[in-house]
Amino acid sequence: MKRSALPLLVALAVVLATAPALGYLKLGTRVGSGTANLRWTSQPVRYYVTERGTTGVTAQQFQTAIASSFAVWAGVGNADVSFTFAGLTQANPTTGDSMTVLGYQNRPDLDRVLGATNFIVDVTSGEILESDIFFNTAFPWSTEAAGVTGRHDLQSIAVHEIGHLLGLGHSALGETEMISGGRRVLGAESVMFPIAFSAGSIHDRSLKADDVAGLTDIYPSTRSRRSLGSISGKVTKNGTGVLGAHVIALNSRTGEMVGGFSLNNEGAFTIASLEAGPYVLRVEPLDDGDISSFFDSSLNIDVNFNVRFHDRIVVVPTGGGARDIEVKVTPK
Amino acid sequence: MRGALRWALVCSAILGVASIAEAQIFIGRVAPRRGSIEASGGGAFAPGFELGSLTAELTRSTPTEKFDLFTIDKEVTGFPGAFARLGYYLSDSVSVEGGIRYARPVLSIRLSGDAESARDETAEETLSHYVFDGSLVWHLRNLSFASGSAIPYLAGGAGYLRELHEGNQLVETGQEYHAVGGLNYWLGSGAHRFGLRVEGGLSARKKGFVNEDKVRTVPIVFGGLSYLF
Repeated sequence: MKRSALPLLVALAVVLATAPALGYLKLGTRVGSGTANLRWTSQPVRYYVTERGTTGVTAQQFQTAIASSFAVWAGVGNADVSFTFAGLTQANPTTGDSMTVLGYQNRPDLDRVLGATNFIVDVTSGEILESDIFFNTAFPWSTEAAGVTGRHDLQSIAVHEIGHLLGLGHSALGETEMISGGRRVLGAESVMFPIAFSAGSIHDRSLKADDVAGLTDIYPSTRSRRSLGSISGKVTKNGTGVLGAHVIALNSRTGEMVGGFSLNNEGAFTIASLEAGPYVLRVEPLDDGDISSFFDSSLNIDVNFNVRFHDRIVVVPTGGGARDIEVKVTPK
Repeated sequence: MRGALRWALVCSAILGVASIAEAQIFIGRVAPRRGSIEASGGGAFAPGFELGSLTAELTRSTPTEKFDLFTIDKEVTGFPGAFARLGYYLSDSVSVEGGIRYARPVLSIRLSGDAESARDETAEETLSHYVFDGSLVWHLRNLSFASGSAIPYLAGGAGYLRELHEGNQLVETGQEYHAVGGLNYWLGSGAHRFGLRVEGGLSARKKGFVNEDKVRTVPIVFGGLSYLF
């Protein structure tokens, strides 16, 4: 079995350079001319927690917060995914020890990284063999139920990182503004948005429709295969496909939003794991985060077009797909 | 004596009018009557209605606030349609009917107020709307006019709502209840005859493509031809 350690962003670059993966933005690895999505094939996923606390968070509080974070993902009814706490460990969250470990690392050099997820995957199949998550103790942490101003909520960040551990990439379902020294989140509707809310926020303890759709796409239950549908089509500009356009599908009944990307030079996109019903589509350039948070910087992501709505209602059938949708955007 | 004669003439006149009216109703008794079958069909129209607004919201850091990404306003435009019914007269005054209604309502969603200034847009889809219904009809023969040719009626019933979204890949079902008042105007007096039929009333729907648990009531009008067997 050929093994290769793939840091998160490298994995993203691999999948996005290939044909569009079905549905939500997922991590993957190139296999021949296709893509194998990263996923755990052996379940329940066994994880260890480093028996070490940090300022403001005891080891026990840390373990409890991690367990709660896994429970959030395990609670998605349409997905078949499960976890087992294998125990406390003195091991650090580093790859190569055949243990999936969540713990702290002191990384003051990563002054914008609250946490990160690494993998060891079978690059011939996309099977995740090991994944480790570290939380950067260069930042202040909290596990208080209501959050603590000035401290990052451990559970919120853990839910995001465990999303990566499960094979999810970043979502672009959010709006930001530039401020000195970086971006500030104006609003987000996905735990997997790459930029965290300000310290003290506990919003990301619970999943949004976008996160649920992503997980369900990777680990569909029997019921979800039968009941959920998808939207697929392409985004074009002057007759040419647009790479990297962010497509939002809004359920016109519930107001829930699920996002996806056009992932090849034909502008093809697919948004999967949608509840049946009528949707409206909104297409926007990827301008609310660093492109490198989503795509390999070598890709020619097109952000030179105006935001627009699709002029038809798109109906997602039960257990089927609304296909051949074309959204035509115009240059700025 | 002259006074008594005058009263007798008045009474006679009144009775005469009554007997003329009874004779006119008798024309109607030729048909429809118990055992008659009435086939009818024609056009229908229901006015549009609003389905409300919804804002695509993003969660902000501040717990109580939302970031509004854009807004949608939903409505169904007024929709013409057609109906066909078959009725059976249980008595001179009461009949039961079953039928089908078909229409092509348009669901329209207005998208506006985009946070990044996307041009406002109206997205639409056309649905296929079917109602398979049954009614109990009470023919108000004592209110007939035009020499008994015009007979008002009241009807009420329920139906099965079946609506197909554009592309026919998604079916929505629901229930329909209706209460209408109408008029049959029979042409001729034979056992088999044509007639004109108009009616208007209220149609209450639950579920269907609007997908509401509450009952939505809309006015509805019908007009068409009938044929009596």
